[in-house]
Amino acid sequence: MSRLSPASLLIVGAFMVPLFIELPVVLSFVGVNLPMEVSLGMGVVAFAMVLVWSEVSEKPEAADA
Amino acid sequence: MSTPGETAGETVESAREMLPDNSFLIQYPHVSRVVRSLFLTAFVAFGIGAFMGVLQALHRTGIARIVESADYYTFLTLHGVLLAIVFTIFFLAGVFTWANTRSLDRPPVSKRFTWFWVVTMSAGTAMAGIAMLAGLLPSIDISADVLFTFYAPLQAHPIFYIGLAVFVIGTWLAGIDWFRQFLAWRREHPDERIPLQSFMVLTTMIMWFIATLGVAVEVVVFLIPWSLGIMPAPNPLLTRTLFWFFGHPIVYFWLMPAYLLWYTVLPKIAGGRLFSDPLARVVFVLFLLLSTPVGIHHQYLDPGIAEGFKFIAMTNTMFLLLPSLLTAFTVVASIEHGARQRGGTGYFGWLKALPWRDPAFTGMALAGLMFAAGGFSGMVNAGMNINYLVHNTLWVPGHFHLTVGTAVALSFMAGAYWLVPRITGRKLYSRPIGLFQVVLWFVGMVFMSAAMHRGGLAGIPRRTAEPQYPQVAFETVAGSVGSLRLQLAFGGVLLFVSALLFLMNVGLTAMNNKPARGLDSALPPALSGPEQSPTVLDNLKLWALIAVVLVILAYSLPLYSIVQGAGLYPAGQEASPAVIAPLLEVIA
Repeated sequence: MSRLSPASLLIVGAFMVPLFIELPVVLSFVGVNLPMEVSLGMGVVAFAMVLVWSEVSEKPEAADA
Repeated sequence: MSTPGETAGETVESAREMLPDNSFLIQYPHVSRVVRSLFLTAFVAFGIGAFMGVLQALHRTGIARIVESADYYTFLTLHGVLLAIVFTIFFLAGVFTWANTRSLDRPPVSKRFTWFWVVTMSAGTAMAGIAMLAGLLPSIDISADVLFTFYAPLQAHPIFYIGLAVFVIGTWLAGIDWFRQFLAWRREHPDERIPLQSFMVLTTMIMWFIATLGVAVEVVVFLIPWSLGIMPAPNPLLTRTLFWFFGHPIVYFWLMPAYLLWYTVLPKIAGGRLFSDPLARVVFVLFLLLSTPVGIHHQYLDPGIAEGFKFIAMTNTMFLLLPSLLTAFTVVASIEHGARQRGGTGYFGWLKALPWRDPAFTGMALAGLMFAAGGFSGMVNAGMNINYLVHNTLWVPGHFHLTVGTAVALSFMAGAYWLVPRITGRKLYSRPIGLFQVVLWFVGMVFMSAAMHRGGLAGIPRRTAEPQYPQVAFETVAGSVGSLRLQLAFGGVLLFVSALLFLMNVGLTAMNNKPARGLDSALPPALSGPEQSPTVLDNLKLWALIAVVLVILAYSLPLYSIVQGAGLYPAGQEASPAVIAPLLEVIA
């Protein structure tokens, strides 16, 4: 059973969007030039990882059982 | 009490049977019909305005130019007026009619008067809308391509200005209706505190009565006679100042109904209670006092206003952060209380206990989050020195798409998901689609407004059909201008899809055969109630008087200075109606 519901995945994904849009701007202040496309790509990968984690990890109560 | 002709067949009847006796639709079927009518106009304007918005996003970025660049400004005017004036204010009127009736527990004094202001507002909207749409037809000599900020020297057809004047009169009548409702309640409850929702409605309308004096003078005294050709073109700086006298407080006219939803509805949806009724009252009083004497901060680059007056406007504007921060505290405390009632624990663990699956909750929560970001970019706009960096750039629409475009519009959409079943008796068509829609709006706005802010910092101008200049290379902080354009257009398309989903969901709800269940109209009492605040907070006359004094202090000297410096009309122009000029010559 998925750890996160579709609604939870939607909310988590939504909160990741501003993080990865603003990441290149924040990094530019410390002299790192991260292309926007790369940052958004990282966001997609991060979301995919959350998705995989949600599918393969066990809920604590299930693990206890 | 039911009105003849109110029922629309078995479906509505069966829906009503499922509702409790204290549901709004059962108690006030006529008021529910008024609210439905207002919402219908609001949503039609929203659909047309959203379509104009996506056309602009695709056009100015060069992704797809479906219309002529010369027509871009007609679309821009339609987008601004339909969304920022018609959608917002019709929805506000619906929410306020519901809230005032619900909290006072009595209907408006006269059904006829209520419908009179609804028709007046609608007639004004129709007139202004016709003038704007006619600009797309070259065969008709009517246009109103003056943008949302309608002041001289851009001139529209008189129908546009007369329509706006009629619309504003309609809003005044609405305010009078809500005050009559309140006064009737007061006669029966002389010693009671004003119910919170009604207090919010009344303070907002007092602010609106004061703020619209500026636009009333601008339109009636200067723009209508000028557009009719009976008076010369007025002093542009004067009309700009009169417009911004109204143009900034209208921001709070949009926001205060959203705040009403955040303070009174959001805690209920979250399963909790409002943290503090007195703080909510203080916030609305502060908005009443501080909304109007700040408009000059839109005119930092206007040469005819002394820097000292601009500094005063900046100081007043910064004070406006206080009610916004109080709101952030109170609303978050209220929903945290709700989350803990639902079993949430820990410093941040309570966030998981919130009803994130409910589009009404998630929409308002995301709207509040975006408002925080909009507040930060607003501080940049309000600062005299750093405003010069972003003035008239794409940063500015980036800012107000976070505030009115998300904090307000997304709250209204989320509020509609909660309120429409309560005024129709029909179940929301789809909660999952609603949830997806509000999240899509959030994501689309993140893409679009972030690109706008960064584009503004690079110097890209606003209100320009083709902001691509071969001689100028805009320098961005991060990413290329090309990627910013793509990001802006992508965000705009997501927002348009979200708007369509919203309209579809609400439209299908209005036709849904499944009855709504429950829909108790009672709102839980605040944790800290009105009895814990001084009664002076309810002295509306006092606050109205102070608000007027502050406006006089902020505007009398600047207006005197403008009129002394450049006159009401440009130098050498006759300041008497052209039609009576021959008569005046004879008399002379």
